[in-house]
Amino acid sequence: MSAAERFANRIAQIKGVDQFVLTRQDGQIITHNLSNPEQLASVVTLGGYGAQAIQKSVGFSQFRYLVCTRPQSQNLIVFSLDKYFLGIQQKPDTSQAELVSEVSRFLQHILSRRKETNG
Amino acid sequence: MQQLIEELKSIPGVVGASVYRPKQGVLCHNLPTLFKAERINEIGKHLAKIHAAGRHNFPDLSEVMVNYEEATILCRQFQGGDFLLAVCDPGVNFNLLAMSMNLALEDFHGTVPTTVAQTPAAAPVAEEKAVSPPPPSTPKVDPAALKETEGLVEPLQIMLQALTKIMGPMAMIVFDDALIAWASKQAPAVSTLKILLDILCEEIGDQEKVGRYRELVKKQLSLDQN
Repeated sequence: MSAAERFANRIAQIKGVDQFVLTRQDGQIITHNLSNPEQLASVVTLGGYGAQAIQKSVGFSQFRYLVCTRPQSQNLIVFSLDKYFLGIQQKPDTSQAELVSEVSRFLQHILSRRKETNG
Repeated sequence: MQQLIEELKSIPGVVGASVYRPKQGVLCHNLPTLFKAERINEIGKHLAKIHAAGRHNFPDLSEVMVNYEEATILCRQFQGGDFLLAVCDPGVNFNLLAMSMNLALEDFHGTVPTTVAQTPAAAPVAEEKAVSPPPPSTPKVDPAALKETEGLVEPLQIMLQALTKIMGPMAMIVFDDALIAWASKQAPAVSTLKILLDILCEEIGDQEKVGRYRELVKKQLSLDQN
């Protein structure tokens, strides 16, 4: 199983995750669970770019997440992960706070492990 | 508008707010001086883009929120396409903020029935642009609504998907602008899709890519390719 597949499996298990797409910052799709991921990947990449542009302009630290709020909590949430953006569409009527917390913890875990591996 | 942003600022956890109008800039704000004028404009510009991109996929999108370690920024579109931005502490109570924003906007809509051109009462960042005469009254085109028009849903979807393959993520922004240009010139209909195609090709610029795009569209749509 490739690293991308392992990542996709883990993300899909998180409570509240409906659809997701992982893109590189250039918009290239790495993994997803959609039949037609291009549209969502574009929104995710543009959202990530925009959030990074604001952080550079204002001098904030790396953005943690971005939320496009929709009815019934079917929100699109974009996370920053090193040189990638992870976009997750939330399942209806689930907790955004729990989803954000669990995904953030998982992404933080990946980053820590990468740092350890790279010494 | 000044009253609107003052009301928002009175909510616990809100550092300040601003009103941003695309193509004009910030109309008014009450953010701390730490936020310089050009930075507030930049924030508005980027959030408006994120909002536009989000609405491509989700026409029911209500607001955009970006969370940083230092602050959280909330952005909501309101009358005439303007954006209301609130910069908050990261730990702000969002339910309270969302409800207060709704109430403040309801209040605002109730007291200001006119379309646009409120004079900024204080801290006019883009003063020069804000006092310029309002644009001529061209009919407003809503790209999201256009994409749901009967008979146009499928061809527009095909054209956008093909454009995404050629231009990547920027396709969504370019496509919306092209839709506005197209629908402003003539009645949007299947019979005039070729004009939209020409507008898009002009935006692509690169002749090789234009050729590929025309080919992709031609494969799936039977447009008159004179």
